[in-house]
Amino acid sequence: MKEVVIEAKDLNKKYDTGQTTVPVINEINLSLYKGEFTVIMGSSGSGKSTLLYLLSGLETPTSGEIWLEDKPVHTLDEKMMTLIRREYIGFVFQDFNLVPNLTFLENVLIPAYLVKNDRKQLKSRAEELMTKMGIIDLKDRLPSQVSGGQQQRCSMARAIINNPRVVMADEPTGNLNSSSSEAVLDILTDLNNQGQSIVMVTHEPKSASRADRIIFLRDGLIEDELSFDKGVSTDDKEVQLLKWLAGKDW
Amino acid sequence: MKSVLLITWANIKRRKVQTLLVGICIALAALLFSTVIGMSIGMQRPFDNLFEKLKASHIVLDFDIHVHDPQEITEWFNAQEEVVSVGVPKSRRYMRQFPQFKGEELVNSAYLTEFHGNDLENDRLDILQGSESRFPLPGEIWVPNNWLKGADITIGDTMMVPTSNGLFPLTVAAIAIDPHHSNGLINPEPAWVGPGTLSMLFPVKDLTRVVMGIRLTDPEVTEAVWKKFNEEYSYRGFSRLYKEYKSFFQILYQITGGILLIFVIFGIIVTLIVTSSVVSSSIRTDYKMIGMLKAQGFTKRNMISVYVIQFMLITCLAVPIGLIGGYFTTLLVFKSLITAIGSVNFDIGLLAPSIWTFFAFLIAILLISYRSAIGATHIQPVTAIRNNGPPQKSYGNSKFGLFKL
Repeated sequence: MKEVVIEAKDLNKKYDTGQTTVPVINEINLSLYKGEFTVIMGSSGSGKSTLLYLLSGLETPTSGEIWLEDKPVHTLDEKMMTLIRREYIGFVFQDFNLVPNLTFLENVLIPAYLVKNDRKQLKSRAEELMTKMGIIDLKDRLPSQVSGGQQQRCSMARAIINNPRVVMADEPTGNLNSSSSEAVLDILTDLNNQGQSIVMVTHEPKSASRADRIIFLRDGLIEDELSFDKGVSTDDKEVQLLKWLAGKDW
Repeated sequence: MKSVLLITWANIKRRKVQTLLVGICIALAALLFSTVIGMSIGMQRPFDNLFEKLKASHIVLDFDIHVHDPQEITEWFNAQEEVVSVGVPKSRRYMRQFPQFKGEELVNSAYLTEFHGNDLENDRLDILQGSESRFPLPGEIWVPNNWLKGADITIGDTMMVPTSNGLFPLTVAAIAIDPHHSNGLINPEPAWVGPGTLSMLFPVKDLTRVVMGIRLTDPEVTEAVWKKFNEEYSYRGFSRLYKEYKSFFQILYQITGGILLIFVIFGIIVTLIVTSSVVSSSIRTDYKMIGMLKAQGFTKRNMISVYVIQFMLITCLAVPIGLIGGYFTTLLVFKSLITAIGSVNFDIGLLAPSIWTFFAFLIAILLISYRSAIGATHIQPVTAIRNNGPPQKSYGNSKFGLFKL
């Protein structure tokens, strides 16, 4: 029996533009499981990023429920949701979003210091993660002094320093060249292999082929899902995925 | 808290120009503020010190001996318990022409007053240069320090004094300070000759005016004693009281202080506006970063703290610099006064006002930065992350663009 980490029930999100109301997410029911690598795919404007932000509690739903383990995200006020997000969710953004005047090490430590105060222990944990990400030699560098791929690896270390229940990645390879993208995806895959739950938004089949499960969105609705059997290689997944996508006209 | 400090530190490093600008504004406002405080405190003490040192009279009477009997007035004041001493009536003669020095008329109108000695119970003189005798010797004149401003007078020079028989040469034997006329704003000013000298310069029948001073136990009782004197005695001569002398002494510093006060108010307003604008501008520039930090778990309070702490640190550094500057500016403002009043102790207790100023500035800056930092709490993480900054419709025509440094 798989353990549910995040569950969405009858989830709706509409944006009020002033003159009209635009539905972006329509009646989505979804369960994300512990240790699963889930990818949300869809064409531009399909609502995939909105769904990611709803599931992480950054957006509030117009209606419906979101449960983060036993926490009813849809009922929590902003402060409670912020406090929960500290420990439950780690974010990886397309633009890395590192603080420009802080070193790599300091950037990684920012969310950690919000949760714990043991400076020595946290520093040791940050350095351990940076070693895993292959950026330990850059710990005293500023973001402007390193490549995009290295910055994204730093942002991944930052995302997982608090041992979050779920890592939410929004187009993490969108601003990277192919070799850097591969490196970032390898790290995400490794994290997932160690039991880390990951939800990633992407429109790149190559990136999506790292997932255990792919959810395809169209016009705010889940149009289809694809799950891979355990043990299938990434290359085989990519072949399956391309075939699957070929019939979706996107 | 460590996270907040890290972001604060990053902000300071990133915005050196803004930090410097705000710091300079705060330091200047603190400098002006502390200068005004220093002046308001400083202008009291030298006058009172000088008054005390030279046992100056709190009531000075100038009358015609044909109208009032000096002995009678002396007896009346001596009978009052608030009176410490009544001065010897000193002959005084107003010079209808200006005295001359090296062929040029001095611009100061003057009395010639007989001075009876620097060991009397009241109205002594502070000798800045020259004679060590008790009073001017025959043929000598002691001149007030304010006459030096218009002429290069030195000890031993000859001063031509207008008398009934024309100009009469007197040798300048001392330059002195009279506590009643120390800044030269009260005219005519006295110059001093020895006892009995006036009768050699003017016809005795013209020497009917005397000046006498009454020294009291406490300056605060001056008005009451004066009121009582006028109720019991029909006095028709001239008079001046302690408060008049004090206000004449302070008037220059009060005017300077008043002008500075306008600058202080202006400076504080500008500082608060600059601080508020810089915080608002920083928040708009940091829009995306704030969204990202909130996504990672920064609460509204954390975000406000980032900016409040940043400006608190700047204030903690800038205000002491301003206070030190203010101390030296106060000394500079009073430099002429120190020169004028010689060795009078100029000890201004600025520690308490400095502490008070420090906390007043700190609280004002904290409040204004807190108020401005509230803007950071309204930023929605999703809007910031997805739009890469503030929505165009909200800030497209921002009036605060001036402060985007």
